[in-house]
Amino acid sequence: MPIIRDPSRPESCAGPIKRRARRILRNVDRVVLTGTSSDGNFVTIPVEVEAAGAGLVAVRLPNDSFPVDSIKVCLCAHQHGNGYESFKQVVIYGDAEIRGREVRIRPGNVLVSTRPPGILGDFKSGSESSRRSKTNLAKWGREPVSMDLLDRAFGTK
Amino acid sequence: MAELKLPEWVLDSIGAYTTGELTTAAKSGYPSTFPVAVAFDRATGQLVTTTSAGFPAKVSNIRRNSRVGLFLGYEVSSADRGAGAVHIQGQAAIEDDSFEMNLMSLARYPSLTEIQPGLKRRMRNPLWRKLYQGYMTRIIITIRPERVLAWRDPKCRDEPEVFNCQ
Repeated sequence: MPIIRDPSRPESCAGPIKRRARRILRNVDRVVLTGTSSDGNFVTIPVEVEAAGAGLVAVRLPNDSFPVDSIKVCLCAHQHGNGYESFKQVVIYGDAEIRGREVRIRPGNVLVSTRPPGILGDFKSGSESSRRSKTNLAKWGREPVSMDLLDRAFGTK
Repeated sequence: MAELKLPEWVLDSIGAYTTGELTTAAKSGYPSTFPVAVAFDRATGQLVTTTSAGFPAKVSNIRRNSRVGLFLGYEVSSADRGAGAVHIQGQAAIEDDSFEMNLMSLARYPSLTEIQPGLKRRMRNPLWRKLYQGYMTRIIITIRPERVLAWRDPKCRDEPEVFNCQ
């Protein structure tokens, strides 16, 4: 398998992965790697994390078939408890070097989000989503779904 | 829209999962993959997911480039077990003309609305409904598969079988 290089790679994307994100990355039960094939389609495959450092993540592909044509990849590590009641996830955008089944990723942007279980998680999701929705809907000149419909759908009316 | 022309085991695998990893094309040129709750409408051959109006990054990406990927192979609930893994390459469409219609049409996909076990119970309380008004303002994303890569092994240790859906 050749090493994939892309001369158009932006230099500014390199950035360290903080300790919290590295801990999630090592401990979640699901990690997938996505690249783009030569026809422009996305290819996603589950991988195993072999090492997670601040400036480099090494993962292992499950087979020899990962036909990507760009070094730009996205690593998504997540774990859900009891449906979506709780979750932790780390998404890393980075540049990959592939040798056989070994993939080394130099991280660019790293996104971390978590949701605790139970009432705390529901409160966190609800308040954050409402705040962001209100801002976006105002920007778009739109109204949220009506309280009357929510009452009819979920209430006891 | 019609049922996908795929082998039964592949259709069963698509329908078996309630969570998938959706990839859209980020503005930066990188693929952007996030876990989503997903439902398979077997009669129309489409997959359905949603996002809150508060987190519209997927929607912006799809409006710029409708090409998406959806990987199904993560066992969140016991109902997910026993299936292979499937990677769907296809085109996505956004439905956000009426948030009220979107909320009503989601009743057809219980896997999307009942995936958080405590939420339905809490939504009986009017204060929680007020808190969740923004969260329930959902944008629907429908995915029309064009090509499917399927593994009988959910860990993908074998080579995929490739199927064209068109």
